[in-house]
Amino acid sequence: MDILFLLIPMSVVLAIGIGAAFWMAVDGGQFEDLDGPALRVVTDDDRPTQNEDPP
Amino acid sequence: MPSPVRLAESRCKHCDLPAPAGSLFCCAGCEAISRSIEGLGLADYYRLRTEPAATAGAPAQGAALEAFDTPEVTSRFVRVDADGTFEADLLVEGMRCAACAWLLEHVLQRSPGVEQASFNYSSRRALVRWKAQVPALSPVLAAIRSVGYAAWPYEAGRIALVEQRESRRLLRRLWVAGLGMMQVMMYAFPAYIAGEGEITADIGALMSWSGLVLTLPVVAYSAGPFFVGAWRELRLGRLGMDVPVALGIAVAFAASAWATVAGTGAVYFDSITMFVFLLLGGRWLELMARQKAGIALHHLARLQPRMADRLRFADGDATESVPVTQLVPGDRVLVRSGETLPCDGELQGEGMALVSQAWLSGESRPIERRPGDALLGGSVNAGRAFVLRVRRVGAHTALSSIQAMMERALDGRPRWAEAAQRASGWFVGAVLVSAAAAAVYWMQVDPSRAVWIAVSLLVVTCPCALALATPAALTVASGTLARLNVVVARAGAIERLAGVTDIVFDKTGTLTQGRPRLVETHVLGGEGEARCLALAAALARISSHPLDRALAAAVEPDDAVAATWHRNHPGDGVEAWVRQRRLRLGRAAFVAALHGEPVPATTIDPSLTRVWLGDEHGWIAAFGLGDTLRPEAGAAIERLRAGGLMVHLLSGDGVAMTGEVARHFGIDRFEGEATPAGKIEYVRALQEEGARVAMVGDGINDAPVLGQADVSIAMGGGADLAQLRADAVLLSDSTADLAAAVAVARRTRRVIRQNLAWALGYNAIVIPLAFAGWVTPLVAGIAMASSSLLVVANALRLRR
Repeated sequence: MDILFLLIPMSVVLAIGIGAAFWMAVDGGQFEDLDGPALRVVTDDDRPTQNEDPP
Repeated sequence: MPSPVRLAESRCKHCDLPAPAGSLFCCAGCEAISRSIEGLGLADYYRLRTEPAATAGAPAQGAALEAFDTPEVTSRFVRVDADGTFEADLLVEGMRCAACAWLLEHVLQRSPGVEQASFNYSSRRALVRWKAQVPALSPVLAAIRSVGYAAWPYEAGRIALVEQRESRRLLRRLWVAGLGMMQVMMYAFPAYIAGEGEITADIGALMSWSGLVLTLPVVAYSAGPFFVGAWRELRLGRLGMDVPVALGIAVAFAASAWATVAGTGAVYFDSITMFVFLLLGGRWLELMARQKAGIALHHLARLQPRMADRLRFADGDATESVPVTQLVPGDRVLVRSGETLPCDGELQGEGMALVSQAWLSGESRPIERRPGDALLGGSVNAGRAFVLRVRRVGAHTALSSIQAMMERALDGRPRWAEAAQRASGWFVGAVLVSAAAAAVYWMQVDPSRAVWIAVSLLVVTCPCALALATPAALTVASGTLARLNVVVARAGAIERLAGVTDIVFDKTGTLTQGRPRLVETHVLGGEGEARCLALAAALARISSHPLDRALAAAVEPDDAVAATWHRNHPGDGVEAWVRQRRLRLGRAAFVAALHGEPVPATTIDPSLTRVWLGDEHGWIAAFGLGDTLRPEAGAAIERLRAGGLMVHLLSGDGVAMTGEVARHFGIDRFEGEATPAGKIEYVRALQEEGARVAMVGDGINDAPVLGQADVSIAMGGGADLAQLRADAVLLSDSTADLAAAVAVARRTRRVIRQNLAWALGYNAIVIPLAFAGWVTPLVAGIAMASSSLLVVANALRLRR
């Protein structure tokens, strides 16, 4: 069970790391609009538009 | 009139309204917008959307877009970056679902120069960055308009910034607490399931220390607002709900930290973090609800156009474009067709104007205004261009008054809330005393448990539920009422509306449409009534005056009596030849001028508007025209009565007219020709019988009567809102909304009672249990938070 002495402190560090990541996400405004991006990601236009098609 | 027969039910592709058979669209506007969406290759919008789009209707309402390019506007709304990129915040109207945001973003990204466009569906706001020679807003706004939305520049002012900072800070606290809770629970869980001796002392210490490390930020950062709140309350000498919460957290943390350092005793870091997380979660939901209500206010604010065309001289047509903020009372402003009125004022010059006050009443049909009539800022000019003499600007306009009223009502504390606040102060005091008593008692019996029982008692008691019970319900109810077009102007209006037993309509005008209709015919000559009507209708058909139209509509057209030659005398009436008779229809003096006879006495009710008919030999008939009854009022009154309310009608109109209106709606108790003093007496008599009276009036002429009533509701349409002395304002003028508002008020009262009953009952059960030591801090935290959430969830039922 000695491995716990490594894993538990690691989990503490990990939790702090995740906390920092969320912190930055909040500051970056990622939680301002919770509806739009969900749709945006599935509808992003990956196809080339007709104007760019070779003639 | 035969109703139009629809061959096949078809719906507009764009807005989903019924469309003429064989057509894809309901109107040219929708068709044009749909074409331009498809032309941009964004037809996917129709597949993605979950709500139909707004109907396009007449193109381009609101101020001309060029007005947004003037330096006054751009300097205020457009920010310039170091690299020459412009940036502006916009408020967007017409977004119905997230697909709208998708569509708008793509449209803007395809327009020249635009670098970034992000539309936020939840707040109806947008941020656009673009490159151009000059900081002109009109290309951006035009692009948005081309696909059927309207946008206005928006000053992301101080309030919005504060709001954003507030919600971000709370969200960060919530995240920290949530992460801490999950992770600390992981360290605590083994201790709950492990058997005796299965966890060695060193592992146990490691777990405790890890829990301490992760609980520290939760207590120090996430729980900060509770400590600050508690400190503020103590300094003011009050006991609020933050005090036991902060005390509970502090004591539990201190004891757990001591147990960790000393290596003996139980730790409850999991309870602490979970408690903080659930409390913050409740605050987060509350903040979101409040900000949603705020968005509605922002949208009222953007109705004001930012520029106005001021007439430069007292005479002449030369205009200059000035920011609305520079207008002063007395200025004259040119309002073009389709423009929004910049401020309150009166109509100048000759001729009528047509304005739509949809923002106020929800009724988009334009209303007619005469020279000298008051016009409200925010209305849209639906007719010809006219000149407006500025009467009130800025914060004094009707629009601003409504906003201020809504804000005031949101801030104000009704009696219920006051009582709950006071009660929770006492309650908190009692909780603190019993926690201390429990600690002292258990010190004698079992010192090792004393701290935990005291903490459990602090945590499990739920002053939050008690303090939230009323405000949560009232906040949700105000929002629901606003959707019903009822603005709660004074705190306490909902509470009093719920308790009314009698509802008094103070004017016939509250039940009628203001559109005339033929009520009485008085024959003055030797001809029959039908003949008189036919002649009058023949003349009336020529005119477009509302009274004449009502007369014409009263009889079926008859070709045998058709006017051959006719002439309109605006303001007086019509003259025409019918079967070689020269007839006049209109004002008494105008008709009398034809034959010279004195105006005879009639039996027509004096409250009705009279129209006279005569030929060269004398009088033929007089017609009395009255108001048309509101079609929806009958059902609404029925609903009010079904709710156990006694309906009354008091009117300054004639007895006959009042009686007819009352009979039509089945109102038993009515009084015609009532004077203001008589109305007050009537209400007072009702109150002496023990009735609680709601008064519905126009809010200005009847202010004293409204004051006498227990709760007063003003029909806001067209009234001078700044002077309103009513408790609530009915913006739509629709009685149906009134009936719904009473129902909402009653449901609110019921929900508040349920909430208070729950909060008291819950506490009555858990406090003895906690005192006896049967509630661990973890269970206490869960019970307390779920009790608060239950109260909030119960209040949210009022949204429907």
